[in-house]
Amino acid sequence: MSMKTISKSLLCFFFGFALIVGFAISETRASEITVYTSYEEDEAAAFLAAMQKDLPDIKVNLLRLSTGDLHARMLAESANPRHDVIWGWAVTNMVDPRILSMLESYRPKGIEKVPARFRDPQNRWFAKTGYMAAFCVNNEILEKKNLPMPASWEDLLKPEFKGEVVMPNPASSGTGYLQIASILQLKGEEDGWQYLKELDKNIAQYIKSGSRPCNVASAGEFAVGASFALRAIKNIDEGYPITMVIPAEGAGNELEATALMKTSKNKAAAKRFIDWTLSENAVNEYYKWKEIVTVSGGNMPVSFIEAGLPEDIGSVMVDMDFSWSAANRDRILKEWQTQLER
Amino acid sequence: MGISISAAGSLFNRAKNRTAEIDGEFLLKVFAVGLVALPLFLFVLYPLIHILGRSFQTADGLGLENYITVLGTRRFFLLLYNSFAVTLLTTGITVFLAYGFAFATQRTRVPGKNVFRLIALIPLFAPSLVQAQGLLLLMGRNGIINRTFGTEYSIYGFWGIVISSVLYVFPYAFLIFSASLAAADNRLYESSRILGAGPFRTFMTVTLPSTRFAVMAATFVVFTLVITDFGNPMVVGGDYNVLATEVYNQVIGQANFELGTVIGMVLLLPVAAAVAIEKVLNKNHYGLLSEHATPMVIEPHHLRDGFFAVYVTLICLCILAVLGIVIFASFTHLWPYRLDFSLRHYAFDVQNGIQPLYNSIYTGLMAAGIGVTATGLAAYVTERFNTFFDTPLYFLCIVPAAVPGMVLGLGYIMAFNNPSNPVYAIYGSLLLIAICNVYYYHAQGFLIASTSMKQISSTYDEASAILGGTFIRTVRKITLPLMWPTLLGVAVFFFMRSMVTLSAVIFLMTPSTQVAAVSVLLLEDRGAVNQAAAFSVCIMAVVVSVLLVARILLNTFGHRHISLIR
Amino acid sequence: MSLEIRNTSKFFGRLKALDNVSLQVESGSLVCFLGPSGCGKTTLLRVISGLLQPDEGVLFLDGRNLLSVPARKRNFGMVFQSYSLFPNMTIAANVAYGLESRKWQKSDIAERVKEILFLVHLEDQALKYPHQLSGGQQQRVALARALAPKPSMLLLDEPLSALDAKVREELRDEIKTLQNQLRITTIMVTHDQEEALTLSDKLVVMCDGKIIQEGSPMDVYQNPANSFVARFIGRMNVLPASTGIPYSRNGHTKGAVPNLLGIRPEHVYLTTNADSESVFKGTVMLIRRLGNLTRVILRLDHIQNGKGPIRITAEMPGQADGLMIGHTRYVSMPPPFVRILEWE
Ligand SMILES: Nc1ncnc2c1ncn2[C@@H]1O[C@H](COP(=O)(O)OP(=O)(O)OP(=O)(O)O)[C@@H](O)[C@H]1O
Ligand SMILES: [Mg+2]
Repeated sequence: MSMKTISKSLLCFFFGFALIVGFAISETRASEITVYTSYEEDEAAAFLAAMQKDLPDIKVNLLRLSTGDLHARMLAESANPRHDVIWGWAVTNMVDPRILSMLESYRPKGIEKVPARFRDPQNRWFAKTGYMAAFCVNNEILEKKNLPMPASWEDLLKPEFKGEVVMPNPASSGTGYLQIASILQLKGEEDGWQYLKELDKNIAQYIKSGSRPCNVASAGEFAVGASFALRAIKNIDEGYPITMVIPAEGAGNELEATALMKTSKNKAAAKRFIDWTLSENAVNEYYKWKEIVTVSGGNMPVSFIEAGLPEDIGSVMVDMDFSWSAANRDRILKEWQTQLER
Repeated sequence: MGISISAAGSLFNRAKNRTAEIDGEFLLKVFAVGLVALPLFLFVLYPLIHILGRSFQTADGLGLENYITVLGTRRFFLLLYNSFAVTLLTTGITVFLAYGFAFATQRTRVPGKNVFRLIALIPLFAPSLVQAQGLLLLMGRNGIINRTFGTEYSIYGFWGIVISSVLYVFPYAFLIFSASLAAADNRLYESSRILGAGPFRTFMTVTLPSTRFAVMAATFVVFTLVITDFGNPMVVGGDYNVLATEVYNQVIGQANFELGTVIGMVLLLPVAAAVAIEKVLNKNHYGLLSEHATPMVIEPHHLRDGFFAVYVTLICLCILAVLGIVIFASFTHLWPYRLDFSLRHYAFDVQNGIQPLYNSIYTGLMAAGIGVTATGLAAYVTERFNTFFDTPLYFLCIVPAAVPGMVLGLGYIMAFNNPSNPVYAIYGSLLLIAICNVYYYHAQGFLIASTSMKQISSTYDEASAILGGTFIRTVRKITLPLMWPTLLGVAVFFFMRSMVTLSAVIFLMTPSTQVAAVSVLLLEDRGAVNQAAAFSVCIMAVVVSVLLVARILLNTFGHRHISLIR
Repeated sequence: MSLEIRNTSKFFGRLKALDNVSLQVESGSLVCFLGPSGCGKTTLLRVISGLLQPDEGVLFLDGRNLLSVPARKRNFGMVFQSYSLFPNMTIAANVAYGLESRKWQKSDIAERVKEILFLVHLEDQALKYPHQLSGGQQQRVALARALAPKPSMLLLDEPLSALDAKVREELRDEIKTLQNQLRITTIMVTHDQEEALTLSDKLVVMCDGKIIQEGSPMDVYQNPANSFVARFIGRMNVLPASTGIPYSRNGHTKGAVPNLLGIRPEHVYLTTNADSESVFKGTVMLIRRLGNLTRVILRLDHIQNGKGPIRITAEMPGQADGLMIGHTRYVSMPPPFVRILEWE
């Protein structure tokens, strides 16, 4: 009798355990893909919600990381990549040969809508959105401390901004890197570094993410947050007392590209997802969230213009040399880390 | 049946007696020992060994290269210095403050002690970085204080980390001191008084020495928690980096595992040494901090009671202010500009929405179930089986106390994120996160269970055996019915810790298994202050409701003495 | 059911809790283990019950080796010192526990529980919980629980020690009656010599893990094997043989010169005048009147041991009217009652 009880309870135990495990595993659905992205959390959430309407049968596991972090992570995982798609990730990082070698050539439906200069000649990636640098300046603090409204990078060197400027860390943040790259490209390397060292004296903190400088400036923790335009627009929308300033020298900018992984275990679903990113619904969504959209179609929302974005944004953008940015990224970051990282 | 054997053949006889024990029951016991030991090997020792191995693995075979690259940088020593500076100062302040607080609640006649005690424990219900969150809202450059007084004080950096860490670890130290001060031997105090010693002398000669083990235990617990905490430094640290944030940034952000392993080993060493020393010096006290000791008779003393009343009130105010401001901010329209009431941050229109909270609850429930089973079984086996394995098994059960959550989490990635490992089947699932939490908190859960097991006389088991009850029947009919209040307490403990912990979990998070505490960190990290606050409030609400339900359940069945907050 | 224990030893680390113990327990008898605290009584009982495995030696039950049978299959009944009633079960459930474990039929169980509770006079307490009963009642439940599955042997570990004197006496008689009725082989551990003397068919005196003496209570009382047993069981005056007290050698043939002699207090007689038998002069030091009995302690003025004059205890029926402290009396110790305790 005792053996019977024993075996009964053992059976129960294992059954229960198997059930848990089984449940855990069965969560992996057939058309499930893992997507890595550097889109801002709120924009990614909005895009995904739209996607889910069009492709309800695909489950997307989204990992959002800062541009630089995602870069390091993909390199580290290169032996056993865990994702199927890279979505909305800086072109500068995408053209790293080590990354390129992991990508599969694919011509999604509607690719012809993307101008050729925003695509890889071998069809490994294409960029449909982009973003540009901007300052978030807290009006309340300016008023309280009687500071002038900064209009350019040069203005940030003024001694009264000491301890009032925050900026992203270029090693982890794509925004941070594009800001530095644009300064170096505008001023030339020597003057550029000189400027950055001067600026460092006024910097309160280098912050890991590209959006947080704007958020902390919005919260009134610091007067100026060097960030990107859309964050400023969204925060103005939210009601924060800030002004978006596009640096007079020109706004550094970056394109966000999408690509298919060679190692994807679910290419059918991954391709359907990529096709969707060029669909009309997707493009409409981009226009609501991005200052730069390479695909024609929508219109810039009123709120963007009200926040101070010129309708022809090309006029304020620095003509970035992305291949230079990509080729010199490691060197510049290393230099920055040894000279300026805290 | 047997041939009689004289005492002369004693050796043979002993062997024979052994074989006699091998029946179904014996096999079941061996099985139970295995059931306790194997998961501990798999989910604690194996990942640790993996980290150790990985830290020596380089592109060209085994070597010290990782150590050389990491330890050879100036930055590493800066981080090391920062970590120790913050940790040592925090530990000192916390131990001092918490001792005083525990003294006030156990050894004085401060009115409303129970309320104060509860307030001191509230931080345990919240994710571990809520202190930093609150501190920024209060004392940030644009926090309530600076705004109100027009000052320009900045909390970012060293002092911000120290203050938020003190608030974070305060309840842990308080619990230890409180238990130790509750278990007082009244006779010592009376004889000290009869011998004419004043209160200060009595404190120095009787109270302090009798709680020295608690001081040691609290010091080590606090030290471990602070040196491996990255939530608070990330939020209020500004540019002040510590080892823990570096590990977080390098491993989570950039998948720089080599650096992670090396710093992980560096963190493991002082902690393991600390725990080992504590265990050697203090074999029995750690677990025997019983809540059942009756408090001693305390005479009123106006000066002392007045002083401590002010003291505990001040500390409680700090705790409440920091937590309260988080709750408040979560309900404002736009902190700190529009403070009118709004629920819009509870819409959770962020990636994954409210899902992380459900994930947390689900994980917490799994952790509670697995944790109760694992630690209950472990306590039963070590307390009741009287086998050769008792001591090694006991040791194995409390080893996790020496492993920082961060190191354990790292170990899990290293060991299990590998398709050839069978555990890979559950890698990236909430189940593995639950398991990780269970084994991270295994030592505490185990000690709670085994202390209570000790208090249930083993003659019940013997009586059952004599009456023909099998092992299973004994457990089902006697042990479980007597143990359930404690086991419920253990389950609540695992649930609560699982809801708020960050340190191990953060490394196991995948896109589909984000838990609420991690959401708070991520939201806070990208500056979504109000939403992060709202998430924190939800976590607290869930924990408090579960505690309340468990409390009501226990009280209904007459188990008021079982304490739920550990 | 007769039990045989052969050359059994048990170690706890370096401590030898049982030292080569051999013992025979006859079927249907009541055996008492008696001895000072820590002498190994409980250990021996637990070895018999199967809760402990001996390190050496064997046990036979009716000629069958017991060692290969685990405790739960030995079908013994046991009553623990602390009762160990399951606090989460009613009295009836406690009593039924052993029956359920042994897979009795449901209807049989109900009947048996009723029957056995009736036997211990607790039929109306069946639905109460242990903590609602008095100590004596709990003890009776423990007994009922042990007896319910009709065990082949009953083991009692100091079953009465936690009760007050009155209840203890009552229960002691009840146990004896029950044991007589059921004719169940019973082993009882006790501290209390009176309990052991009145209850047992066979008395086993233990010390330091060894059996010092065994026999019928009368035999052990009258002929203690040594001064330890003499002092432990009843009161006995232990005197050095060198005092010259006369003794008879009957029953003892070995040895030449005895070392210690003993005499029970009830065999010490006091007279007011010296005569041929009352040769020792003593002074009354203490008088204890115990109702029907008076106990007197005298100092023998002329007999010394190393430490000074020897004291002797005498007991006499009645009130011993007129006897006062400081009186002189002459002591007589009739040789037939003088026991030889130890030989040189
Ligand atoms: N589990 C054990 N581990 C170690 N030593 C033990 C154990 N059980 C008993 N002992 C020791 O063995 C000796 C005999 O113990 P035992 O309990 O048999 O004594 P006892 O005669 O029943 O005493 P008492 O009358 O006080 O109950 C004692 O010295 C005791 O300390
Ligand atoms: Mg005993």
